[in-house]
Amino acid sequence: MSPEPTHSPDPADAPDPGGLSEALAHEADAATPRPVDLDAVLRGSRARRRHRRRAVVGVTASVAGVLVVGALAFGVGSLGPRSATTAGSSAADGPVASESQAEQDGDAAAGQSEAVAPQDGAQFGDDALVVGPDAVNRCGALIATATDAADGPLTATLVSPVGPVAPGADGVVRVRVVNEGSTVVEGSLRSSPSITVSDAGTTVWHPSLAVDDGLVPVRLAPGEDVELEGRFTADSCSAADEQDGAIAADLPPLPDGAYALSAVVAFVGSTGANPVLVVSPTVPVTVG
Amino acid sequence: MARTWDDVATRLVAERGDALTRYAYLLTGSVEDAADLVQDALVRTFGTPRFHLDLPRAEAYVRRAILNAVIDRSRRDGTWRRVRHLAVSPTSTEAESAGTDERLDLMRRVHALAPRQAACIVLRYYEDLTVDQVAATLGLSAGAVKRYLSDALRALSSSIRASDAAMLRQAPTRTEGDHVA
Repeated sequence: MSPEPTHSPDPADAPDPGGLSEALAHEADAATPRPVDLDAVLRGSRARRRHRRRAVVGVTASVAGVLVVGALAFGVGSLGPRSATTAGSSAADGPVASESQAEQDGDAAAGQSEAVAPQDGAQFGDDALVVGPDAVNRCGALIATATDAADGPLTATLVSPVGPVAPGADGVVRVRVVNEGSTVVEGSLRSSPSITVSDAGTTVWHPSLAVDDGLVPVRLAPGEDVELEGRFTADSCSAADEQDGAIAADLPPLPDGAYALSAVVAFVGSTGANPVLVVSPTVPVTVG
Repeated sequence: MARTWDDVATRLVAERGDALTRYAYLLTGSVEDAADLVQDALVRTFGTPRFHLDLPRAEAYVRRAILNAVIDRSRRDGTWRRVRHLAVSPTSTEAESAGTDERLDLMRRVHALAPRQAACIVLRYYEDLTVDQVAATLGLSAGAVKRYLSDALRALSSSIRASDAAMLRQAPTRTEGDHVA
């Protein structure tokens, strides 16, 4: 069965859907694809995990769940004490250990159906697809409350003065991440903080799903900070624009008025502990 | 129920490897490029630790990674993409006039589409996915997928009209000039 065309622009000239399907099938069948080299894939992905230490966690659970994740990750003490004892080790050491444990866990659980990272658990919710901090604040939903320094050593604040932004225009802000704890924090921060625009505490814009955003390694002594650059757009979204962490691309511009910005920063400890999402307090921004 | 990332990668390659390679081939028109793209996309997908990565999600990630690579390549080769139709249309006209293979000509037009348009066309008309399934696979909204499909069909229609006109113009002197540029 051939699918019907979604929007036929000109029925007289549009390609016949059946013919299109047939042409594609014939083209695909006629090719002799080169088989995938599985060994190379496994070797390459292991090396990539080791060297680049890329880890993005998606949390589609509630905001409360997200904050619990942060509290758990820091609360169990896996980051602070282990950072202190491994401060001189290679930045790639952590993930190696993490992967080995994950693989052992997986081997021990042969026959099961989902890849679960070490220390992954029910706190991630039933649908913890990898979407990263972009999913913390959903269009039309209340924004996450700022991370309390008492919950973990890292806090985030928006530091650059934010001038007026025209409706529909892009804005840039700087986000400062500070180690408020008493021990060294070592790991990686996602290079692009997720900036949310809110109106009276409700999300009116957030970045779309970033599948492959990079991580930057950090090592912060107590009191030290690092600044990241974040971007936002003065557009307006609703719950109907949400889909698996992505939002529609053709959103209407925000009406003129007073709004607020906040940032969500993803941190992955060098020990391979669960990633933590750090939420900043809001700062005002004017659109118009 | 847990599996390691390597287990998921192994199952994905075994069960969906050919389908992924055909998808990449339909976007690129090159067997070698398709194989390289799939290989790279798998490494990128499984080179990033991910939570709750089951087979359908892994396949969606790989398809997105393939499409992103095609888009990157298209941007790098933008100049060629902009003029490619000038080089190939007269040849295809001759092929059409000879009545040899309209299907191949249609494929050339699909390959000339913008990558996201081509990906939507392939997933909709080759994989037979619904608009919502295409949207979920590519990480787009359903509205965006509808637009890409509409634009793609419009582009294919325009291409067919242009080709028909060229064929009519060239019919009396069919042996003259077989390419431009």
